[in-house]
Amino acid sequence: MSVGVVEMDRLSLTPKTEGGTATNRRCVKCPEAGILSGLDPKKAVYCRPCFMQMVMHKFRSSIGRQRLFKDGESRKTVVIFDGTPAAAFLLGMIRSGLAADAHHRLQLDPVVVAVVTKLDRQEIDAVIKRIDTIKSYLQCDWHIVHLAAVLSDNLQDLSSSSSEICPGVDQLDRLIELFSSIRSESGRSEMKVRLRTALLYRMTETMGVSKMMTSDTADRLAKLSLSSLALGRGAQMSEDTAVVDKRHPKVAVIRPLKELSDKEVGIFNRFEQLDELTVIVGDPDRASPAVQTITDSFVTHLQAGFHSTLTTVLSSASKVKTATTSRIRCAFCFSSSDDRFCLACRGILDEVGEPSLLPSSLQ
Amino acid sequence: MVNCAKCNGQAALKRPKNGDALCRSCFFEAFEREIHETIVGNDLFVRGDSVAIGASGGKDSTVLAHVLNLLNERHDYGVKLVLLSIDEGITGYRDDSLEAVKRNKLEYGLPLEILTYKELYGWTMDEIVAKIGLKNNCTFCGVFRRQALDRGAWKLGVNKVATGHNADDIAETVLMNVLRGDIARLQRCTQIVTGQEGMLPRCKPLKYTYEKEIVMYAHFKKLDYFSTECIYSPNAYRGHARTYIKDLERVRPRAILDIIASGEALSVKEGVSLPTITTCVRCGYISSQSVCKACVLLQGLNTNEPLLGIRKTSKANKQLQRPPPTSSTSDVSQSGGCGSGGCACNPDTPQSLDF
Repeated sequence: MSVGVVEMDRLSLTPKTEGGTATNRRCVKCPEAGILSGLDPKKAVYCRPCFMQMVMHKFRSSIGRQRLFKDGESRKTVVIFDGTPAAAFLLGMIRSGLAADAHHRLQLDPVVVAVVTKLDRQEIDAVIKRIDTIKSYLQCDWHIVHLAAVLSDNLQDLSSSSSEICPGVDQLDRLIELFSSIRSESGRSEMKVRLRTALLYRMTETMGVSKMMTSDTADRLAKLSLSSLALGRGAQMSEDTAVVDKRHPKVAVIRPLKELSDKEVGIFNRFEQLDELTVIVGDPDRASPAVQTITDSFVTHLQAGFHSTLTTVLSSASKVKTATTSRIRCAFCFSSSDDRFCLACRGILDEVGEPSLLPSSLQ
Repeated sequence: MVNCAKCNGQAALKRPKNGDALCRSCFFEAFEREIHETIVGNDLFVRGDSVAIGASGGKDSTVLAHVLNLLNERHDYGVKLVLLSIDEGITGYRDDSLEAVKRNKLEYGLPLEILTYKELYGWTMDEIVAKIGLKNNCTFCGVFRRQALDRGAWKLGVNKVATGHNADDIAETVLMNVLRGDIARLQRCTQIVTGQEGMLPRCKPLKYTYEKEIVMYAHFKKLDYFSTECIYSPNAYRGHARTYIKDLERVRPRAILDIIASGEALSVKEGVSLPTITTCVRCGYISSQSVCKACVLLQGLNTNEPLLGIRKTSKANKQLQRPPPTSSTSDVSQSGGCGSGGCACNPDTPQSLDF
């Protein structure tokens, strides 16, 4: 029997035969025909059950390797949901992990925080309604918060689940004005990322939780690494991409999807019907070019021609560290700094035309 | 009409680095002052130094030679300047660019030394490409040129080498090293002076100068330079990084300096293995392996196995255990190399290699 290696078309996930030529390749785990591959089609190919098992194993081993949830540590973890296929995948992994029998149970007590970054009120309401339908998938505490909440000086009421108003929407106009006063599109994009991270740190800390889990995949982390390099954050590449990131004095960031690519997640979601859990929580990138969008297309283009690009970039990032010996932490991103703010954050903050619009801790 | 940001006269250009509108003389003054500040701030030169300027005839080395000569006179660095060129043997490209270097030699009154791959290694790039094709030939050229520059400098008796690497080049190199996972180079590629420990120091006075400004400076000063790209490197991987850097610069000009700042802020974590610097057992030049890359590539060429040194195979390692050929000419003849084809190399003429 002659079987072609099936390549998932990048956009539509429709199978097509590679190069139109059938090749006889076997699954690396069992005698079945190999029809699915990870990042590099020239390396291991799998049949469907073994592929699914490989993906799940990558997720479980990235957590197990770190021994985060053992030795009496609190198991409560804030899971960040941003509506992407990777976030849907993460929800699926957690649900199946919690449903497993005693020996395989995921040692984790999740609290899901969904972050909305849309700037139009009607669209925000639509996103919240959509997230409400997703809540039933994972039975645990859910909180929905808007990015603008980072501008609020009082985060205490965010933990309250009795409120019908989405926290942060009251600060929406101020956030819009803040973004308008930033001089460049690159600065706006970077500010959005930094404010979102700052909000998540504050929320997690306010809730009394010491761990936060995100759904960043290898694709996203590699693009983030190169964008950071171009914005002067090269020294932070290692921390920005680590599976466990302990820059913040009280909150550790966990990135269990670091070794999984968008391609693998997409295939898995298709087979497990996890695509139903996706929602677009943010506005699309503007038409005007920015460092971030140029980097995204650069990495995507390079990965198509050189299959080890993502893994090599992440490998490079994990081997470097900041050269400074300063003990000071940047007040914005908590990385090592020679001053109150690190060089890159100061560059972004200097682009803000109205400093009074920033959170008070950053003025 | 836009006015100069400094003297309010009529502006002739807009600086890519910071967007200032400047007239010609203010641009010259700012350009030269920044390079001077880089030289003084990093102690690149000491009075009494002999400095070889790596001159290729292109815009970077032409501007470097011009500015160093100018600043040496203006600020009395007290250094002796020499032009050093490497002829790779690329017909239609290097011979024309070397003509530009010779004209610069006359204009600036600086001594010029030209070394060729043929005399150092026995092979020209034309011959190398004829043997291995267009793929991977940049590896040969880069390895050979790097060593050739050092050997030329030793020959001239200078104690420093200045190269025309500009900010765009260094940003490209930082990016390339991240993309290829070359951690050892990533740590040192942003250093403005390299090779200080007992070796021949190299410095990059144009490290913080944008390529576009170099072009503008050469244009307004009407400097004579050669600008054609190498004909053998149409698909070099570096082209991807270069395109990306240009796109970033268009959107955010300071991104180039930010990438350099990123590279400078990095160091390697403990536990990551780094190569140890030693000398080659065959030619005695600097190497991190027992046999340096130039000798490996040269043996591959001479023994008609050009992929030796390009691919990792145990067979290649065994090949290295054999003693090197005593004479590249005779081996070339026996192995059916240059002498058997239409190559200009004459196997009957004795070739002496400087090993």
